[in-house]
Amino acid sequence: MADRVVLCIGTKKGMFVAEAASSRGRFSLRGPFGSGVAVYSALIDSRGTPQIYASSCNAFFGMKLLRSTDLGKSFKETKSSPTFPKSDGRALANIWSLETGSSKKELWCGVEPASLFRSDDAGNSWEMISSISKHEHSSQWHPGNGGLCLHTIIRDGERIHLGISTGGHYMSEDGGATFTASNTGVGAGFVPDPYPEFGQCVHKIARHKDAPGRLYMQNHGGWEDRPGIGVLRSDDHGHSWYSIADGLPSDFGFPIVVHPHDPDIVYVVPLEPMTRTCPAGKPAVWRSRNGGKSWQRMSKGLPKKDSYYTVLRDAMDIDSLKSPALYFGTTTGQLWIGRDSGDQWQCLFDSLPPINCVKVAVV
Amino acid sequence: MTTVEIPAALRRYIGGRGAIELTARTPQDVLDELENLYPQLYQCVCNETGSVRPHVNLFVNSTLIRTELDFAKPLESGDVIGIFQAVSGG
Repeated sequence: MADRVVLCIGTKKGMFVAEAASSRGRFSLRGPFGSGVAVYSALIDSRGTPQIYASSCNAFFGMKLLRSTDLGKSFKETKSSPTFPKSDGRALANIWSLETGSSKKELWCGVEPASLFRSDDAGNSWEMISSISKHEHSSQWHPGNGGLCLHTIIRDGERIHLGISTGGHYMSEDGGATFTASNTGVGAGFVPDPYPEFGQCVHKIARHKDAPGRLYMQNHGGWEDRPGIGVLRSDDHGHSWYSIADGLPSDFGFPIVVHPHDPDIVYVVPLEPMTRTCPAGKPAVWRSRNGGKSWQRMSKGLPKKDSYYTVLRDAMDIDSLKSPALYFGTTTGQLWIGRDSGDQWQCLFDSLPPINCVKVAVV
Repeated sequence: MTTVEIPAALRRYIGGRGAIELTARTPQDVLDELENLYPQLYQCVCNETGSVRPHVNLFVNSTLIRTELDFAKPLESGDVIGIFQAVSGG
């Protein structure tokens, strides 16, 4: 029976793992693992015996993939990390996303420069997926502030959705054999064409398994002359998108998360677009209960002033318990829990290194 | 034979040893032999294009080597290749 809540916290200085009983009363912390090395992505694979994966972005000695088979008590490097073929001419700069595949040992990995890799043996060997990694558009993608990264992989049967910054949303409907840019309604504020075919700075995409065809996107918003393009929804498997930003204090932000039991409930963290920090220094998570038609501010327990942190694209997650809790990490090293679906916030850890990613699972 | 000294952070890839002996005739030969004999160690020193990583420095004895000419220069008997983590970080 799943009775432990495990939190993976990827930071600038390594991976931390926090664990609590399902009551989520007290979290114990262990780490850092891969110490001193930035972790940008983590995956808790809870199919069968839980395994935890973490990217380890070693500025000196290259990218590594860490794996734990004991719930994050220890980590070891896998036998290899994704590597471009020599003939490709590119070199791996970072690992931005890790997702499970169909078979038990299958993993997918999104990297910088924006490319996709797949492993059939739990990360010990990798093959590049050329259909997106060498896509005819790829030479025209360009780096955003975080680099040219493939940061989102969403698998839905034969459909695969990818988020690329700065490349846009790409979709496969044949298991990854081919990918098509699918950005109708996805705006860009930094090029002359407000709705280009591709090249958008998508920040994150989320879906719910019980709402076929529906996707939510946090896009790069915050443009005075192109308002509302930052928070979007699709009801047709990502073929077209429309704005759901009305009612938010800012349509700029990074993460977007869907409630595990209700596809109409979605969460974002609006940020002031110039500083990319909490508007007016007053942090809040915003929740919609109706698929983005209206939004409510949730800040009970969060600082009321003087807080200017950023919540990065993978730094918010939600657990799957009956009354789920949200979790987000900040660039100032705080890890917050939002109990009762975010109604009541509490700081679990207040002095970690800057937090890049947060993943949670009940195991 | 050329001695290649390995920094502590990378010794786990060669069974914990502090140095290895190679038959290499040039620094580039050293990299090629590392790639063949110790691929995980090589991947820490060079990226997949074959370039030495920007925050890794190689020395022949006490001389930093960076250019193609440096890597092609014949080694002499008794030369020691040192692999070092560069001074950087934050």
